[in-house]
Order: sequence, then structure tokens, then C-alpha cells
Amino acid sequence: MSRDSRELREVLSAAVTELGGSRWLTVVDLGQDGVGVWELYRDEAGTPRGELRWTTPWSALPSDDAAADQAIVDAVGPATRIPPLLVSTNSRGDRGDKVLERLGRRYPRAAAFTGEHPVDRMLLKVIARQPLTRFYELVALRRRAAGRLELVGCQLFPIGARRGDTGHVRVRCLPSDARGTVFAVAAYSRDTRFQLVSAQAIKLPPGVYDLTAELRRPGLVHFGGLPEGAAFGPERRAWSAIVSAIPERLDRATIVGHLICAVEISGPADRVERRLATAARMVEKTAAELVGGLKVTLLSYGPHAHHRNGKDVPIRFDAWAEEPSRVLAALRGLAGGGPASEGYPSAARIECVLAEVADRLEASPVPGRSALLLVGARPPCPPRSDVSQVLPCPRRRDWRVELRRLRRRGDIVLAAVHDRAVQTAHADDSAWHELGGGPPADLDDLDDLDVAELGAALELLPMKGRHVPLPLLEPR
Amino acid sequence: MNPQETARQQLGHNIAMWGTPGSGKTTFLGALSIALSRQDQGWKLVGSDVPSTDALIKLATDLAGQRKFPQPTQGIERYRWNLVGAAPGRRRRRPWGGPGPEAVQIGLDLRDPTGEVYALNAASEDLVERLVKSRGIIYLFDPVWEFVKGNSFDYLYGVLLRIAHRMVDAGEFSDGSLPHYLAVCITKFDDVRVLETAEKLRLVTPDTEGLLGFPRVGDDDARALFRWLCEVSRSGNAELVLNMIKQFFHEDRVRYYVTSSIGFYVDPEFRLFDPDDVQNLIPDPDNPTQMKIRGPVYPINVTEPVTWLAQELAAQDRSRR
Repeated sequence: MSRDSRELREVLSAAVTELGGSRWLTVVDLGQDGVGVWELYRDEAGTPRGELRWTTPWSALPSDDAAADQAIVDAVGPATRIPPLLVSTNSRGDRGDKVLERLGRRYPRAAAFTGEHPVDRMLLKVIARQPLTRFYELVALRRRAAGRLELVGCQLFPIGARRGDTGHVRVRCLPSDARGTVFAVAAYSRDTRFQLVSAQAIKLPPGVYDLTAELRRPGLVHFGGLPEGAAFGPERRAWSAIVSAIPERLDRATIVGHLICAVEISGPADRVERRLATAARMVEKTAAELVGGLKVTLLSYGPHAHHRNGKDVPIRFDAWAEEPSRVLAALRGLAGGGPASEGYPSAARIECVLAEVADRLEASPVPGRSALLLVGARPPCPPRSDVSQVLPCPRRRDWRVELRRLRRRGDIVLAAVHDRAVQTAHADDSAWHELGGGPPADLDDLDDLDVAELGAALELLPMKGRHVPLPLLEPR
Repeated sequence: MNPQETARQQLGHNIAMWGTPGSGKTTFLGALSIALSRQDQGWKLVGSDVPSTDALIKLATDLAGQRKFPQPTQGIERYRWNLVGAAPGRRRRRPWGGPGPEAVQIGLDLRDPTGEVYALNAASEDLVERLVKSRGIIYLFDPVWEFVKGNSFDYLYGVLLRIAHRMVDAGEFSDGSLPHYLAVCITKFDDVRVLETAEKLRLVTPDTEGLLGFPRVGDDDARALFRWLCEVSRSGNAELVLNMIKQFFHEDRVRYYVTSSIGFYVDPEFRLFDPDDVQNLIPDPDNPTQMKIRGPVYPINVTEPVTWLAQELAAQDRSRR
């Protein structure tokens, strides 16, 4: 005797719960438009799935009852340990009920139901309400010693979690490629291997995100707490391809960084403005990549006073490890203040900049890697009179010694932007080469791409093709 | 030359300046008065006519006051100055009283031609004429210029032959040498490149007598430095300069001096030479294409060649009388 829809739901739910391993359940749907054969099973991740394996309209079934029954039996396939569920829903005329009755005789252990709601919708609800049979974890990365990256799972839902349950996780999205950061959910239990449940990609600005994961149904996790307008897209790469895109190591600078902008503010007004604007672009670009992870120091400098009435332009720290917005304001302030005195035209106090930056870093360490960006026109002063005829630093500081001192720290890189348009007494810019560890960028030729490359050279922005496809787990 | 002028010249010693353009002839003269003041040994320089006095004032104040270099000479400038002071070794009053020795007065009739007139053209005839009539020559050799341009020989050779020709005609070349005294001044000792060269040759000694502790190259070593600097000249012809000096002048009438008109930089606060910060010449912040003097001017070996020439010429006069 057939039973109603409510009882069908309960039976279906219990049957799906029992599914596992190689067991599956066949549901014969004698519906309004035709006959369908559903196969219910759990995939490798333990997610219950309903698959319509065979369907045919009533009109296509043989008019002969026996032949019609045989077609359905053939579609059901060989008898399994679990007898099929037979469901008749609002079938046209009484043909569905008659087929239901006859099939009941063919499968004496099978439960038979009649109902009003289509089977597919009922299956969807039943599956959606299934409790999880495995832990659900967000696949993320963790930075280990020496920057080595390892894959880790951060639990989103325990076994038994149901539709509507939520989990919370804090992650840092790092610079990603055009596809974005991949949010992968994996299923795990003590008895089973790690299995991927879902993988979606989303292009997010780098930064820290507090996410709320909502279990919509087994196999479907929705992430909330993302910026407005950001949308997930399908991630079609094989999991192995995603994993192979993970860099072996991750410099701490990719997570947090300290950008030190040292800008020479002596010289023609338009040149000084351009130098300050370049520093501002660098700050903006880096801040956009390292949301919440960037601290910025701004210092300005000029030439020494090499004689009694000489114009001295001392080093001024306008900000030390401050938020980028604060430094951008300071840069605007410097630009509004106009250039400092021209002073001694052949050199500027870069050697003192290096020394004072080293002193400050020793006295007040800043987390993460520091990057010193020098933007100026004049070379440093030598430590003593030499054939360059550039006057020596009054404090006899040796810029090469100070440079080595900084580099020995191991947590700072340097880059230089040389303002070649300002003629100095010596056209030779070998000092700028040494300061920047290679040919310095030319202030007048610096486009956005160059700024990005400069950021990469400073190890604050990702190198070309060097992205992190998965989120980095952040402590809460 | 009118009779008055002739008479005036006979009173003084006609000393001519000689050197390539930019070798610092005018600056040298400007430094002369400052150097005498710095030495404070009783010698002073005074003009013997109004234009020469005005020129003396301007040259010295440009250099020491304005810290800028005098404008290069156009044509040939003539300065009639008197070097006035106690004769060397006679400065003290006699212990038994009585009047002191008379002040020594050495007349200087300095010719400062622009370097260009040394070139072999019509204008150089006037220069040759003046060199012929002088008996003392201050030859300024700019080693930096020579290293860059290497044209000292070009400037020297033609003029020297013309002088020799004139001297032969006048019967003053009978012993095969010119009758002139020659002070060869290696200039720009304050330039780091020159100083470093001298240091590498181990020719530099600290000036233990001076208050500032400037490095010095003794007169005996100056010739060795000159020889070396000639060897590294750009053209390679500077060696000929040395040979020509040897061939045309009496050996005992030639002296070498390592000089600087502005001297090394001395911090006004510490008033002591700092070997790590020697440069007294900087680009002018208001006009970076021009150079200006950074600190006080402390000329080196500027008075010595002049007084040597003056004394030698005076002694020559005395012996003739």
C-alpha cells in the first residue's frame, strides 16, 4: 500500500543517511510527464548526490504493460541490496498508479509511495537537509619557519552540521593572478582521506577578511563577509594545478611590509613635486596590495651645509611606520610646502639617510621586511675628499659602509629612483646603481608598470607570475 | 713706451706672468696680497699708481671677501706694485738701539696677459716684447688643465723660441741660455687630484711651522712632482716642457714651487686642516656652472716665487752696479 509524501520524505532522508561507500539507492519516479530513474549516492567527499539516470515520457513507453514495466526494470538495473523506492506523483490518469502497483509486485521489498510533489524537488530538500557526515574545512595556507608554506585545513563545520549552520574563519588574501583567490572546501574524517568538496575563485584586494561560512547544503558552502561586488566564479583548474601554483616559500613582506620613502626635497620645484608624487604612487600601489599590512616611513633630505653660510637641509622624519593614509597626507604636505633650499649642488646627505634609517630600525624594529626607496637626484657625499671633488660628509659617514650595515640586517632591501633630469656636477650615476642594487629607475620614465616592478624589487609587491592562489590562515 | 714709463720700470723688477688660459694667473696675483697678510712677516704689497692700486684692491677683495675668482684678464694687464717690508733676516731692531734698517722696497712690474695671447698669432708679439724686457718669469703650470687638455707645450714652445730669437739678436744668448729667472709654479695644489698625486709620490710633508697644518711639497720635491705631472699629461708633450726649461734657462735660475692661490679648506670653527675635507672650491649654488671659494683663502707658496724673483733681480741689479 502506498504511503504519502511526508512519510516518503522521512524514508528518503533515512535512506540517504544510510548511504555510503558503494551503496546507492534507486528511486523510480512515476511523475506527471513520464518516468524517471534516480540514483542516490554519496560521492567521494561524502556529499549525497541525486542523479537522474534514465527518463522517458509516458508517450514513449510501450503501450503494452509488460513491455513498459520491463523498460523501467531495465533502467533500474540489476537488483541491489537496497530495493528501489517507488514513487508515483500526480501521474496522468491512473497509469502511474497502475505501474506503481505492478512494479510493487516486481520488487516486493520495495517501499511504494504516492504524493503530489515532484520527486526531484523532494530529493533536493532531502539532500539539503542531510547532516554532514564529515568535517568541512577551508583549505588554506600557513606560513611556517623560513617562510615555507604548507596546506592546512581550517574547520568550518563539524560532523552533524546542517543547512543554515555557520562557521567563522579569518584569512588573508594575498596578491593573486587574474583568476583570483581560490576558496576550496574539503571534507575530512578520521576514516577517510581529504576530499575536495568545492572550489571557487574570487578576485579580492589583498588583505585580511573575516569570513562567515554558511552551510547551504552538503557540498555547498557560502562565504559571506566579502567586499561588495566581489563574486565567486567557477574554478576549473585541477586541484593539482592549484597546488602546484603555490609558491614554496612566502616572504613575510608579502604579508606585512614597511616601506621607507626617502625623498630628496632640494632642487627645482617641479622636480621635487615629481619625486614626491612618485613616492605617493609607490605608497598607494603597495598599500592597495598589502591592505592592512603596510606601514610606511617618510623622510625628506637634502644637501649638507658644507661651509659656514651654506644651506643645510637636514633629514626630517615625517612619519615612522605609520599607516599609508597618514603618509600620503604628509607627502601632500611636503609637496605643498615647496622645495627646500638648493644648497650644495653636487651631493646630498644620502649617507646620513642610510645611517639614520639603520639606527632607527635597530632602536624601533618594525615587523616584516623593510624596503628603502630612495628618490632623488644627487649622489651621496663621500666620506673624505676624493677625486670626485664632491665634498665629504661633515660627519665623515661612508655611504658604502652604511649600505653594507643595512644589507647585513637581512630584512631590508633597497631600490632607487634617480632624477636624471637634474644635472649634478657629475653625470656618473654609479652611486645610484650601487644604492639600488642595479640600474636605478628613471624618475621621468616611471609608469605604473615600473612602479609595480619597483614594488616587486622591494619585495613588497608580487613578482611577475608569483602569486598565491589560496588564502593564508590568519589567527583570530 | 714713454720716458716716464721707462724710468718707472727701471725702478722696479719686471716680472711677467706666463701660463695657459685658466691656469690661474690673475687669481695668483689676487692671492699675493692675501698671502702676505696671512704670513705676517712684515711684507706688504702696495700699488705704485692708481690703476694698479685699484686692481690690487679688486683682486684681493674678490678673492677673500666675495670668495669669487677674479675675472680673467682681457689682453695684457699690467700691475705696478711694490713689495714693501723688512729684508729677510733683518727684521729685528738692533739690541743696542738706534734706528732700524731701512724698509726694503722691491718694485714689481707684473704682466698678466690672457692665456690666449701665448698662441702664435700677431698679438703675441707684444707679449714676446714684454717677456724679453722682463728678467723674472712666473710660469704657472696647471696640472689639471694639462691632464685634460695637454696643451702646455703648445703655449710655451713658440713664445720661448721667439724670446730666444730676440735674445740672440740682442746678444744676450751668448751662453746658450736666456738671462731670465724662472719660477715654475705648479698650481692648484688644493685640487684633490693634485694632492693625491703628490701623496702617492710621497712628496707631501705636513707643514709643522704653519698654524693650520697644511700639507706641503718642499721646493726640492716640487721638481719631481712637476716631472711626474708632465709625464701624465694628456698629450704626452708636457715632458718637452721640462726639457725646454732645462735647455733655455740656467739651471740655477729656475725654481719649482707647488702652489695654491686659495689653499685648502679650513673649517672656520676649528681653524685646522682636515685631511678628509680638503676642497676649498665648490660649485656656486646660485650658478652651478661657476665655481666659488668655499671658505677662507689661505694661499700656499704664492709669495715665495715672487719674493725669490724680486730678491734675485735685486741682487743682480746690485752686482751690476
